[in-house]
Amino acid sequence: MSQERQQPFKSDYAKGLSTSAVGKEEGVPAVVLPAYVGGTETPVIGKPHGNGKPYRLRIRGKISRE
Amino acid sequence: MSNVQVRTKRSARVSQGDIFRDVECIEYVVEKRGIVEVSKIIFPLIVVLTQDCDLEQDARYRTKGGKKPGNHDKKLFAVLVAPVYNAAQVFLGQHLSDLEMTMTEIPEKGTLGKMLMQNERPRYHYLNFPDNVPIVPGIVDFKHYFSVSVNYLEKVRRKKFVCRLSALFREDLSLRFAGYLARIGLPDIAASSRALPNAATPAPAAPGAQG
Repeated sequence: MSQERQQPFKSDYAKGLSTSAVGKEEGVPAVVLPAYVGGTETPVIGKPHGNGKPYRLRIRGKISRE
Repeated sequence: MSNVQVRTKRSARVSQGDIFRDVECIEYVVEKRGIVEVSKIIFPLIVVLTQDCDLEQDARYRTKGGKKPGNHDKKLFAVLVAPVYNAAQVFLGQHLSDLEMTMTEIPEKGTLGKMLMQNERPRYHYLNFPDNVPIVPGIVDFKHYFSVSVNYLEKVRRKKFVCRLSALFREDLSLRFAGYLARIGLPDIAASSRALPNAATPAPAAPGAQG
């Protein structure tokens, strides 16, 4: 299982970008349940931190035994 | 108007009062037939609550080059933290809406809101940062404390450090958290006495019962 996800910075929230994890294990896609969709923060000029809300990520992937 | 002083320079270890961004709280990890599922909540801001002396002793195990302790007696598994929510969202009861949770509204201009901002409500700790600190006013909810692995926090702390509460203010936070955690939940005696049957009145006998 692997996870690639950009950090949820203000720009992500503000643009309402969907962030998702990507799995790359043997054809079994990692799935984010549900995908987080931002756009809920209240931007405060000059205060880039603390505007977002907690959110949940669920990630699935196949275990790779090496 | 700010009610807290902070230091923006990161210390050499995780410290009490450190504020980090985008910290993960693992809800569960399950594995079924070779497929593993991880559920986690990402908190935009958290503050470290673990006693600083414990963190200082734990950090001795991670020093590079220095003499490490002879045993692992003081090593920590986890660090206690609490989320710092956006105050404006807390007042609206919407700060956990992305987790599909609705919280109680706290009118900012009302008595409860004013008490909260004066840190007179035991569950909450209001933090209004100075203008030079890039954090909007926040509220620590002591009820939502959780732990994160020390190793995880050490791994991400350089990247995710935001600032650190100055000594007096982190001690105030720590003391208020300890007080909240140590509270004793007393029963509502009036309500419980109404719910209980009167001991002096015998229960009605079942039909056909003898004696």
